[in-house]
Amino acid sequence: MLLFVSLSIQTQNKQVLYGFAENPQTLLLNPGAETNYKFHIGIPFLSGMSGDVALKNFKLNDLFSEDGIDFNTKIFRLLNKLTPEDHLKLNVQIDVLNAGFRVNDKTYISFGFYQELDAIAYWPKDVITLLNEGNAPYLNKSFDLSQLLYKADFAGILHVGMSRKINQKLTLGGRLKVYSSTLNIETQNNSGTVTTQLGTNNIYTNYLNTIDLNFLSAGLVVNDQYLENPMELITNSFLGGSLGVGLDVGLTYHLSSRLEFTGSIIDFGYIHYSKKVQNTTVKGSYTFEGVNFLFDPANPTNYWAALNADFEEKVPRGNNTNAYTSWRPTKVNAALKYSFGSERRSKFCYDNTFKEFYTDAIGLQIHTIMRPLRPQYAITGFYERTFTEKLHAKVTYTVDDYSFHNVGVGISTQIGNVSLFGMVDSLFAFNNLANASSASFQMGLNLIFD
Amino acid sequence: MKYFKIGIFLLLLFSLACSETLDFNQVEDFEHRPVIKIPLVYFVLDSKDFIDPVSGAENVNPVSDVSDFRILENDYLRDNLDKIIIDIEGKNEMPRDFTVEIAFLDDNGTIIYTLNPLNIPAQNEAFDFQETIEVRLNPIILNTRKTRTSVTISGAASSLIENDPRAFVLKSAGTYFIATE
Repeated sequence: MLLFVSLSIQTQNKQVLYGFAENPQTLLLNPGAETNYKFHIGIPFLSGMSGDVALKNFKLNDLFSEDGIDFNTKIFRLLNKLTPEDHLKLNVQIDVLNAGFRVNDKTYISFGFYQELDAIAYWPKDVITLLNEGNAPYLNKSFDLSQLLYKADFAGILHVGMSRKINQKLTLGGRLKVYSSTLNIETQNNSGTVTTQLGTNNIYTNYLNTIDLNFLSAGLVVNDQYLENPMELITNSFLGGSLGVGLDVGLTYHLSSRLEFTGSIIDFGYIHYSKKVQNTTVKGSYTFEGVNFLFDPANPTNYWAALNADFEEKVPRGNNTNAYTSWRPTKVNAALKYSFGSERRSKFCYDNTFKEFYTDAIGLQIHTIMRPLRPQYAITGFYERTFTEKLHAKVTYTVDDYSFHNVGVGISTQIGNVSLFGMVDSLFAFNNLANASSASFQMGLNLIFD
Repeated sequence: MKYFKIGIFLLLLFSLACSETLDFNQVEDFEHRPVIKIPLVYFVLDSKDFIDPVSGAENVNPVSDVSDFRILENDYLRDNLDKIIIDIEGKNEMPRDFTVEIAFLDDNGTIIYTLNPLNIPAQNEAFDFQETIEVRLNPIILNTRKTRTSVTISGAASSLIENDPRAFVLKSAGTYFIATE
């Protein structure tokens, strides 16, 4: 059941957690978030955990519902419905270590190490159609190989960040990240078409036009042998993989006592893949009309060998171990929050001052993530309720690529020094997970010392 | 008490999460049936191909050529090929009849399957031919590693002229039906 939940949950837009209840984990979504505690320590492996999978334009019951419809008919319908923009994406993040401390009343330092698996694979409709149905029903159709587009990465991320209160209105923050990727596979910027047409010299002609394919991998293949011990991916993720750097920046700005703007850019960075690299390339054009018999017994031709040699020359395939660089999936968040309701005061124990807050808030958030094909956007409306200084709840309504009615709910509480939060979205999908395209969860357990 | 109720509500929410019954065994019903068209042999023959360049006499023996044809070495095709349709078309501008024999050979050069001979009358501007090979009935076809085409000219009523521009043209294609269940 857990696996199923994780396979039907939505990716990285942590719209419920973002800006919620000054939780330490919100610093990973906005390093410029305000904090009101002296220091915090995350419970190792439990301080922050999240998972997402989304299947755009696909639900499990499209195929596996017990509806009496022939399975091949359902496959046919599904293949016709899916487009090259549809995709599967998966994100799992586990906080291994997370801690922070206040340097002074204006500055809070936080640091830690987390592991993240992030993957997205677009639906190469033309390639799947060609493989599934062949070229016979599609004379003159150019099957587009540029639709081959996927990227998956597993990395350990070591980070240190600082949030600094500039004045009563403005808090700025930044976080430096060092990525250590132990596994990357990706293909993008491909081109080329496969076409079959009625021919001139023969009945048909097969064309491979301007093929340029690149399949990159790091950490998967060594000396033509696939990785034998997958645990290496985890154990080497602490600075033992291909390294990269990234930056998070963020801010909180109080437009008035009730109106607050927050924004952040997360994972603006890259990884230089240099370890255990194995790339495959295919490039060229080829026209195949069949074998032209010459009927020349005096000079017999080895047509098959000549064909192979000609193909190898015109469409060379090769492997290399060249290092390559790939950008991280940068995220941009922004939110406007309006507070109302009863006004209360929260004591900042570190300097014995007080912060005023309201029991209710509504707002709007936008989230953008850079993906190989195009950026993905989500817009979220939310309502936040503070029951006591130690108990907060948030309800969100998100419109994104996967749903126009994604309702999420989160709760954050602090009992003594133990801070606990838990969130889910795609709430309406819980009555039938098979009919959901996406959902997500985030949870965490931290110790907070005021 | 209010917060206790909230907690109970959330617990109920997660415990009530459910899914309609799904039948993943339907995957076993999946049939993969691609159909692939591949151009095969083509050629153009004219009168000089049937005239001995030394003696100038008409060559009564068939002209033939052979090529390796190794796509059926592929295990996937061998395991799942259901049917092959061979299409042949062309034109005969020459004032003579032709007989074309196309044979499939194994790695040792032994004929394992022969298409029905094509008899093309003189000055036939467009001919076509189709033969279906059911792999189930002719499993030996999977051993094909070479193909040989032999062309015999016949009907001596009209003599060949060496530089006659008229030609005998043949084109062919294979349609491969794959069925994976």
